[in-house]
This record gives sequence, structure tokens and C-alpha cells, in this order.
Amino acid sequence: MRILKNSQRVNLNGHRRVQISNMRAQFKIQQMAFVLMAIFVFFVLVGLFLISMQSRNLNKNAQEIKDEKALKALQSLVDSAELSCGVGVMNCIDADKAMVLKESRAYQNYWDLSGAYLVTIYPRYDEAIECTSTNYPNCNLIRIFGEVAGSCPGNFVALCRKESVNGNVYDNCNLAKIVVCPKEIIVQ
Amino acid sequence: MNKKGFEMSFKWIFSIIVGIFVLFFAIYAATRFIDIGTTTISTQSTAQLYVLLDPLETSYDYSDNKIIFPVEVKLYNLCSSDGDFGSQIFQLQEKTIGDKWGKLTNQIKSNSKYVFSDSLERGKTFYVSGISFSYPFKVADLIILYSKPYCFEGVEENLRQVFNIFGNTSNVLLENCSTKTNYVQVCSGRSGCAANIVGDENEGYVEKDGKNLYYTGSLIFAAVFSDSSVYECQVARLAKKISNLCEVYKDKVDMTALRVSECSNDVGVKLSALKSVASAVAESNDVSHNFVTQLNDPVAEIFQANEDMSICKVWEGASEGL
Repeated sequence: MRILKNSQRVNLNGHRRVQISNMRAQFKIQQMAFVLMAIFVFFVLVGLFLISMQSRNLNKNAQEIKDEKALKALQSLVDSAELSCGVGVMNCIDADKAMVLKESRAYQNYWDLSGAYLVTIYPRYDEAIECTSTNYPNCNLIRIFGEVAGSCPGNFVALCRKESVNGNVYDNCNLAKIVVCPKEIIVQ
Repeated sequence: MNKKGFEMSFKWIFSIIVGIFVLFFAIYAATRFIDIGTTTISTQSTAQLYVLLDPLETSYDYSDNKIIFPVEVKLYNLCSSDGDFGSQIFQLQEKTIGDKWGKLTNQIKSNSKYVFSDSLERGKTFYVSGISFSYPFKVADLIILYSKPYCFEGVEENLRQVFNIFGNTSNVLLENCSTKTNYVQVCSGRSGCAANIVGDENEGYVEKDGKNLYYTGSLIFAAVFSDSSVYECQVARLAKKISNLCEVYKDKVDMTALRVSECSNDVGVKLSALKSVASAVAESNDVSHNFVTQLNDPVAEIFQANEDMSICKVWEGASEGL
């Protein structure tokens, strides 16, 4: 009976030791899992931070390219066959051509710009009068194409059209400003 | 019996499995990160290429520039003649670490540029020249892009004078070609050259890779410096542009005549006829041949009609031919 009791005690103690050892192992596994999880979350956060930094740089670079493009495209638009007064005539826009382009469907998406308009600076107008086929040339704002919004570069140009007085045809030129807005770079 | 086995506790197995997973995830993320970064930089380079080409479109007859990349690149000139104007598409591939070619960048598109080059140009330095093309009015600035030196030692004197237009920043050799290696030999009236010009400075064709690229006026430069697929596509785009410009000029004539009766003339009718022919040429198969043969007469007629007007010229300054 005593021997039996002793062995029972041994078994009970052994069982308790195994139970304590199991609990300690489970605790260590949980501890390790939490550490690994923390390391994983840390790296994910670092990755997200780097991606956000890169995307911020990317947006900045894209904006810089867009602005530079608008500035360079401004001069090539003024000198284009569609708007210029003629070959070799610098900074001169044919007002009649600008009005024709305004109505042209094909040219709405031709240039790598989101929009362009011309505003007469001199002679001065008290308010902006947008040019239409009915009020032209008694107006001072020609929306050539697209939408114009945000900060857009501009340049001063001569805005010329043919006029006649007593049968004498002459070039009537006003001082105007052409403003162009950059377009999103088309990536396919 | 003493069995010596390798015993591994659960925590080791668990940490190895999770460790492998984390490690692979980190390597994959880093690779993707570098990959995206490289593609981004290359795409930015392609976008900036258009910015660098803008100053070549001026009111002057000729301008040139040099574009230098920090590493060797492959520049793909993909031209499409679909739509109202067709489009100019560029794609770039940069050399990366280990002398390997990186991924192709995204395609960057422009409707208003006309770049004449080989379909694939390779190098670190690219030479670009902008040359005005009028037919009969100014149509566009042709952008000639090339990387290899071009030798014109073997061409006739009158043609050599034409190519004398290229400035100091260009890579065009009119004499002493032996000072350079790996150059493109251009000749006139004889075979055995990379490009053989048959004709004069005003009209003719360039034999290249067994194909004839027909030219008129300043298109001679485009025909010499580009391959047949790019040339034919860009000429189709130019035909489309002529068609659209005819409409602009016709509407301008009508608008001016409404206001100034002295400016009414019959150029508008001639422009309508040219518009129809140019549209048909753009859609035809042998574009450059049809461009020269079918457009020459109506173009010459309209040019003369505009010249004959003492006042109210529809366009100013464009010259016929070179």
C-alpha cells in the first residue's frame, strides 16, 4: 500500500512537472510568435514608409516634368503651323486661326497640353468677353482648346488679324498673352 | 540499442518556418521595390525625352541638340498612324548592373511630334535635329534622331551642300569619315551603301534595306536617317496633318473673307481638293510613293495661287522645297 502510494506521488509529481514544462514551452512559443509578428509588422511599416517617400518623390518629379513640358511646349505652340502668323515670324499668333482651332474637334486633343487660351492685354477691356463665332473680333478671350486650371505658364505675343479701311488691307495686331496648362503624361 | 536521432523542438521548427516566410517576403519586396524604382526612373527618362525635343519645334528652319543618357539605352521609336493625327510613341530600355538590359519602360505617347529614326536606336548619346517641312504651307518640324555617325563622303556635291545644314553638335560627317568607326555610309547614284540617294535635293528616293523611301523637300533628311517602317508611318501621319491643316486654312480663308471682302479668293476650293487627296494618301499602302506622286501637283498649284496674291496671303513665309 505504501509503495503504491509512493509511486502515485511520483506519478503525480511527474505529471505536474510535464504540465509546468508544457506551459513554459507554450509561453515561449507565444513569446516568439509575438516577437516574429512584431519584426514582421516593423518591416511592413518600414516598407510602407519607403513606398510613401518614393511616391511623394515620384509625384514631385512628375509635377516638375509637367511644368517643364508646359514651359517648353508654350513656345512650340506659338511657333506651330496651326497658330503662328507665318514661318520666320516670331511670337505672333494669327487670331483667325485661333478661332478656327477653337471650333475644331480634331485639334482638341492634338497637343500634349490640357488647355490653352489667349487674352488680349492691349487694348484693354473692362471685363473678359469670351470670343464666339457671333461676337468675334469684338472680344478679348479666346479659349483655344481644353480646360485651363491651376498655375499655368504664359507668354506675351502679338495677336494679329487682317482688317481693311477704305479698301486698304492691313495687319491689325494687339498685345496678348497666351497661357497653356500642362497635361498628365500619357503612359500606356 | 542506442539510437542517436536529431531531435528538434517545436519552437525551432516554428521559428525556421516563419523565418523562411519572412525572409522570402523581404527578398521579394526588395526585388519588386528595386524593379519598380528602375522602371520609374526609365519612364521618367522617356517623358523627359519629349521635353528635350520640344525646343526643336521652332519657327526657324533648322535647330539641333544632343541628348546624353547616363547609361547605354535602347530607344524604341514606335509610330502609329491611327486616329486623326496618328501618334509618336517612345519606349526605353536601360542597361542595368551586370551589363544586362532592364525592363522596357511604359510607352510615352505624343500626337504632335514627328520623330524620324531607326525603329531601334542604341547608345548613350543621341543627336537630334529639327527641320521645318513645308508642303505647301508649313506642316511640321521633322525631328531627326540618330546615334551612329553618318558619312556623306560618297554623295554628289549638290546633295552634300544640302546636308551641310547639320551643325557642330550633330554627328554628320561630310568628309574624313575614317576618323570615326561604325558609321553609316550614305552615297548617291550607286549601290553598296547603307543608304543610296537617287534623285536631287528637291525630289527622289532613298534606297534602304531593299526598299525605296520617296521624298520631297526636307523629307530627304527623314528618308536618310530613318528605317522604312518608321518613315512610311510618319509620312502617313504628315499626310493626315496636311489634311487637317487644309481644313484650318480653308476655314480661316472663309472667316477672313467675311470680315474683309478684299480677301475672298478661290484658294479655299483648292484646299478642299488637297484635303481629300491627302486623306486618301494617308490611308494608302505605298504611302511615301503616293505622297510624292499624288500630292505634288495640287501642292504646287496651291503654292502658286498663294504666291500670286499680293494681299491677304493665306500663309506667309513657307518656301517650296528646301
